[in-house]
Amino acid sequence: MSHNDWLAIGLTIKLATLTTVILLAIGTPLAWWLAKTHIRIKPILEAIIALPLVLPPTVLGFYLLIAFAPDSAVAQFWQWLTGGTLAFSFSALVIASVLYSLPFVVQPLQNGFQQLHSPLLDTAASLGAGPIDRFFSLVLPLCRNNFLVASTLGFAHTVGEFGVVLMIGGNIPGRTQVLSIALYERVESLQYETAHWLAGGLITFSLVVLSLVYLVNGYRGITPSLKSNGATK
Amino acid sequence: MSLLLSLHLKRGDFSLDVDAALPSAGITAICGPSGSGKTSLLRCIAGLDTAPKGMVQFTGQDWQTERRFVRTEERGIGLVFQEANLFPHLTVAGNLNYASKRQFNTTGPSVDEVCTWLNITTLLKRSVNKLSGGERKRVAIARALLRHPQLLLMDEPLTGLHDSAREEMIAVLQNLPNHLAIPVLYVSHSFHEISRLADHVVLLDQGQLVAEGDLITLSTRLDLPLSHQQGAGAVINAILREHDPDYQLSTLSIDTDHRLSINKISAQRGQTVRLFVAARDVSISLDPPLHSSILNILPCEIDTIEQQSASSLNTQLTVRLRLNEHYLLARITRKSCDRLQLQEGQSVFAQIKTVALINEYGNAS
Repeated sequence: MSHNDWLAIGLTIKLATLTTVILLAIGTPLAWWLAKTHIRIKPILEAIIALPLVLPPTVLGFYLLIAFAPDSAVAQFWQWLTGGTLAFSFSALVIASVLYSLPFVVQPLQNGFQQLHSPLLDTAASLGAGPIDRFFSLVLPLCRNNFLVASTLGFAHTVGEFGVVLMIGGNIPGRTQVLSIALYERVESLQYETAHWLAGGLITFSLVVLSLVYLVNGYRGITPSLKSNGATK
Repeated sequence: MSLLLSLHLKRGDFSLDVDAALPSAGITAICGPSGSGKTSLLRCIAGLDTAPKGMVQFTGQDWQTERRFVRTEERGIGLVFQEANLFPHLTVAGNLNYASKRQFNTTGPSVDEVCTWLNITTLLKRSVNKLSGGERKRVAIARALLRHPQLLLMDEPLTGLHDSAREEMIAVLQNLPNHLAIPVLYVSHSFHEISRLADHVVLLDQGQLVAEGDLITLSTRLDLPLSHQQGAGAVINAILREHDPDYQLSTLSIDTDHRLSINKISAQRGQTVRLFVAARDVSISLDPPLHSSILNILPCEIDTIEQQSASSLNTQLTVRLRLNEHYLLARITRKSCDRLQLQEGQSVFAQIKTVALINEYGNAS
């Protein structure tokens, strides 16, 4: 295992952690809103969020590549905001990962929020708990498993992404070269021993993570919320 | 009169229109058949539902006006639903603590006191999933009281309890006013519960306010649905006069002309007690029955006879009897009514088979 391999592992963990934190911050209010709203375009919004589940990652990567090109509006706005460029940067990887892993966080949370018995929230309000208080004292503990599943899936799925990164991140060690890309490159250059270590490591990691997910309340599959959402409408 | 309401709500076919001024003391029952808007009314008072352009004011505090809407958590209310809605991730003690930590008034009963009133002291360490239906209800009521609310709202709190648990809970609730001086709004469709608990009644039908007033007055009005319920009857206040230790009876006076004997009770002389006389336990006689085993025979006047339309004649009808200022109901067969040729204004004798003691506290003096 070379220095670059360790850099790739470190970068992957950093990317997945940051992505998961951002996803929980964005995904929680989004999932709450989707669970409670009755607006007509809700199925369309849900479909948009679920898109990364069915699209080849290269499709998302392609559009992001165009959006992140230096002369695009998104890149210009980013430059105005941060002073840096987006193309082939770590920030671009984080943004892409957030979009790509969104359904894996939003769906388990939305599922949990929908199953939350709303009279319990009314009762908490009558006992003097405001919205933030209700979230931390009631929603979080009651949907604990959903949060656990959402963070684990969000993290693991970010670790496992390849196509999007390949399209927009390039392959800069220590900056955008994540594990899956590093593995691809080792295989291309016939370094099979390192490739075995990386591939075997990813399999072990994924197996442990998924076993944990299944252990927590027998969560059935990656996309049960897609099915149950369909069934309840 | 200090819960002022003006609520107008339209949802599909259902509309709620209530303008009322309710007392801010004692127990006020909101009753009516299912779908009459009882729960909607309660939810608007709680701030869980909003009636556009409504007005809710409690003892001078604006809870809802055109410009202002105070959220549920800031209204300082205690709420008990049909379901206990205990928080499943907390123990019984945890549920009670949830309310204690967020109490509205700084003064009020302690956890120990409330647990004693509701007899849940031994349950504190239990998981809420291991409680019986009655226990869950009692914990829910305890939790609402520990919020130290300024108004207690209860929505059919005895639904789903079997008879003995229900009677036990009624006894507990009857006792509450002795411990706590907060007004209670009690939603129920059961006349049995209302007759035992309420001082004041709000009658709803299809979202409209039918009548509102003293239970004693409304329970015997033949133009209102209360007098046509299964267990209809008259609620009467009486003063304890004397005990008869030989026969284990107590004598009570309704007014100077009318006295009743009931099984000996523990109240003191001069104390006001509340009685319930079921309509089916009252029969009418034209002459004073001299050789009857019935102890309570009161002279009275027929006030009103229930009118039945020719198209829907029932076997039985209800007659309202007047004893000076007070009223009784009698449920008799239509045949008897015709045979005795009963007329409104006629002087008759009411034979009362049983008199039930509601409470000895006379909270509706």
